[in-house]
Amino acid sequence: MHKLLTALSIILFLQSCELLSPETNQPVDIVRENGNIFIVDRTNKEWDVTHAVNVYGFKPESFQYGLGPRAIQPINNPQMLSSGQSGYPGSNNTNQIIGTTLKNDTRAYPLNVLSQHEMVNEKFGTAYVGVAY
Amino acid sequence: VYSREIEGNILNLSASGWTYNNTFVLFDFETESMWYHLSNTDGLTCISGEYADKKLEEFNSTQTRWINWIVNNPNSKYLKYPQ
Repeated sequence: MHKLLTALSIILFLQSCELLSPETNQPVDIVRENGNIFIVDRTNKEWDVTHAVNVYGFKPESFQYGLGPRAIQPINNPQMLSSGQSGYPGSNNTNQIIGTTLKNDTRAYPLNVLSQHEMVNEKFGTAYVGVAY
Repeated sequence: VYSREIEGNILNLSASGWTYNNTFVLFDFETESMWYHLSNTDGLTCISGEYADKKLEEFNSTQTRWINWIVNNPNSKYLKYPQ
């Protein structure tokens, strides 16, 4: 439920940016070919969703937006700020964040940035992780 | 927060541009497999593509405000933005 609400809040944010607006939410173009099912996004890219439909019960017509894989750009291998560096928030800063500790390394990601990029491709020591919102 | 290592390979994840049930459908640039957080299932499940049915492990994370986070995590780093 929490994840759903989080996703809803991003979607509302993107709607407010007009990236995801009712106007961009057209009915999905579905192609059925030799028993395979493809959904076609706004960049005319075809996504094979046969497995999602047959195994997980996804309904092809229930996919939404289809903005294309370049519409929302991830952040890759970002620099982090440590205490004392310019831009590091004061201890009374009330920004919403997602925080995590992995490999003895603790990092925080502000939601207002995550909501614009959806994904941060990160590395904690030897662990490769994705921070998603 | 999810692992992006699978079978010895490292994936670069991103939003696919699709949502399903108001949740983002993710994909990886390497194989263009589609990844989704199924309800009642931890981690990301590959719903379509080369890694179909495989999972990316989920790690603990906390959503809170910095003012609360920094009290309990005084050594926390903070995302630089813009990069």
